[in-house]
Amino acid sequence: MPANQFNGFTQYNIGIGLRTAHYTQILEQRPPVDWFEIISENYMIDGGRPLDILDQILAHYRVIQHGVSMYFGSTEPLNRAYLKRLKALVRRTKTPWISDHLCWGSADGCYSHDLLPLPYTEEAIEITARKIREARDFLEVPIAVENLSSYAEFKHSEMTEWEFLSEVAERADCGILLDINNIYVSSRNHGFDPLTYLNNIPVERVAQFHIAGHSDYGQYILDTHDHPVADPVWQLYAAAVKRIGPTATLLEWDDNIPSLDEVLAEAHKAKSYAIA
Amino acid sequence: MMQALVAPLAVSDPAAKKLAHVIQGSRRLRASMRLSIYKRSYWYRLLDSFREDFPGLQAIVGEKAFMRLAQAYLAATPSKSFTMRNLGEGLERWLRANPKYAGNKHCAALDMVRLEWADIEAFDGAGLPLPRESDFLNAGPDFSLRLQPHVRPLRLSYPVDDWRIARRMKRANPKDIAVVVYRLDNSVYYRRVSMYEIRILESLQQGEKVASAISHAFQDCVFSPEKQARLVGESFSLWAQLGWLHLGDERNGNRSSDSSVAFQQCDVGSHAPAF
Repeated sequence: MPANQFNGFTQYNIGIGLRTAHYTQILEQRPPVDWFEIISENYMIDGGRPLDILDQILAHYRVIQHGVSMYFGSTEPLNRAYLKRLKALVRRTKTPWISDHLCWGSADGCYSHDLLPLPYTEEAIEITARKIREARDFLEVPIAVENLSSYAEFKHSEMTEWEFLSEVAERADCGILLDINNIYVSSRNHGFDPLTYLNNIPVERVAQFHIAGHSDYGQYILDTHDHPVADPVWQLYAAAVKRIGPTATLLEWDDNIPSLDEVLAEAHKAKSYAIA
Repeated sequence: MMQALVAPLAVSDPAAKKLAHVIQGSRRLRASMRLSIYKRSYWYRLLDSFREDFPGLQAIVGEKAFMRLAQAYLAATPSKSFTMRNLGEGLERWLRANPKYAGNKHCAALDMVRLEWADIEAFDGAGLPLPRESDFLNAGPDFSLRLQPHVRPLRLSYPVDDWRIARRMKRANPKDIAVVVYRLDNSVYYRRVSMYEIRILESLQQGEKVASAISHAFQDCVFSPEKQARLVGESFSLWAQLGWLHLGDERNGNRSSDSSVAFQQCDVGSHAPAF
């Protein structure tokens, strides 16, 4: 499903995250990169270097916004001040879609700055889908929700994670940012078959893929984004492309960030897995 | 779950025990361990960010005391902002109320916190359109200027600007120091200014007219009117070159910030870059 209403009917290929360590090289050498993903919150500021750099990037590249603080699953209302800043950034970047996570992370006005798992219940679906719709209506841009990597599940969950994700996307009428690494990480942490997850995702709603590296601690896997993509994740990615079709794919590398050339080389491996 | 996360790492809290009962455990990974992954992650993330924002404070109080201070502050003041950039927003107030965390270095620590918070504000504060040369030439008695939002005048008792750059504290007796933290060409700088300059800058920041700010600054001054006029002229010229001023929201109108640069770029060699 290369282009659909959830990614603004675009056909993006392989992108990488825009990171501070690579600013100079990108602006001086302008390497061929299909698109950059930015963390929206890093640019929801009043001025200074980050916005200046972003404007220079926007002059030469396509940029997609990815957020970490919308917290669709939190029971409190959406933060209007946050949404206003986000909308201003959406207008600046002209991003054809935005994404954030299917999670909660704030309560009573306090922020965890983490992506916390939801109980997979009817009540959580209602809250989450309503807030996604509200955000989309305010922001006037398609929204895709991303599946988490998680380390805990709730005893009172009423369904599987993939059923929950599919139902939220259906009721919110939003897209899905399918994080292939997160499926793998959670499958190992919770003991489910990642292919079952993949095969139950509504194909027509997938707007984008994420791939990333993780750290294996034996008893559990942490989604650290500080390694190359692991082989089982590449295999799962190949299966995802086979089922869903070539889709905008973003390599996340957020810690122990290597040179831009290394990041790009890792990202471009996705092309061979997509063909395989 | 939020209560369980924000409780300090070393504390065994009832919220965590209660929460462990609703989390699905397995033979490989018990519920309490699953919860502790989130709890550790929460604290490492916040402490890393806090350490990055306040390296000077850490240099003053030392590593162990800094960790105690950071954990106590973050536990007492959970983040109320969507961005971790604002984690230190309430630190000055909290440290004033909890001096024991800085021990006998409390005053110096407070100075450093104010400087480091100003540094954060200067880094990404708004930059409004600069005044044009003609604005100064046409200035009347009601002429009004404001400080750019990224410009932060500070009165300090210790040379914490020097310490932050050196990343270590040196022996010093308290004395009146005036520093301006500001941004130029996307870098943050510290500049020492005189006491009369800081008075003018503070007055402009508070919305006083230029004439009133100058009059207020030289109220008890023994300088001749000629010397005062020369100092004021030099100061405003420099501040305009450094991009510290704007005309106020009502007069900025539709000017874009890049089309109204008033003066030639100044030489920044005499300023202290704030790493």
